[in-house]
Amino acid sequence: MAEKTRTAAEDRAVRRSGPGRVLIAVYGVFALAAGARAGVQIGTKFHEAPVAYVLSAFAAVVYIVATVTLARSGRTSHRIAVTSCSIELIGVIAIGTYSLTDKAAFPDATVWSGYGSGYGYVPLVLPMLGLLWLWRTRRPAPAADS
Amino acid sequence: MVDTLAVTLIVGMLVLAGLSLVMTALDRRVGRLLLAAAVLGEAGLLVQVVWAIVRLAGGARPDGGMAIFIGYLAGSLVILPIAAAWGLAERTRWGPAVVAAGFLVSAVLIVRMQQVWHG
Repeated sequence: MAEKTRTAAEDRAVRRSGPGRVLIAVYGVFALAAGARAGVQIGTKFHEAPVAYVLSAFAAVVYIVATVTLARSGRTSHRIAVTSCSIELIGVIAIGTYSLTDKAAFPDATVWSGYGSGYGYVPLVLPMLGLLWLWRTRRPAPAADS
Repeated sequence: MVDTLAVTLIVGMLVLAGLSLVMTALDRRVGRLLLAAAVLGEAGLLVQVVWAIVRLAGGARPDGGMAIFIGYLAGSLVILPIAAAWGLAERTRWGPAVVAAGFLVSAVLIVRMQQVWHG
């Protein structure tokens, strides 16, 4: 049973069903929100806080990649999803700490400022849940195969 | 924006989110009840959009920027249909959880619209 390798379809069914579907839905919202926000910031007032806005755009791209790879099947997607969730976790902790110690560096907020406090700390919790879910649905997954 | 309408909608969305989470706790799937709830929530958001259009046509302008406000306004209408469709496709207790997420996001969007309107 532990030797059984899931097909791509089964793999996708596992990763994007159950709690995974809620996770992908919330990731999708964040991809959309962060992307739209970064677009508006860069399009209308880029000179005000270039570092913060580039960071917003980078965060948005990571959210989009995470959303897509969480929803897709296969090992490669799994690996990219793990990488994106890890980047998010490191990003939110690093930028969160940095934004609190050096407020002048961030004249305008990013999704990761203050550990995502402007977004109800969802940016801090989301990558943790993402990594947890990816761990639980990894291959071979005895819990999911049984 | 009329604050009473916004507050009513926010409370309504939170109540409907709570209802959806109860369905998850009870191990229920998305059924007629939650679809009706989603339609109700969407109707409330439509009322807000119509009201916003009336206000904008009357010359009122959001302090936080017209483009951002319109963006939120348009975005508020697409969340619940997508959440309902996705929740309906998931034939487990996690379907209602997706719908709950849709209601919560809608509540947050209304809060943000208030902030943008008042600058």
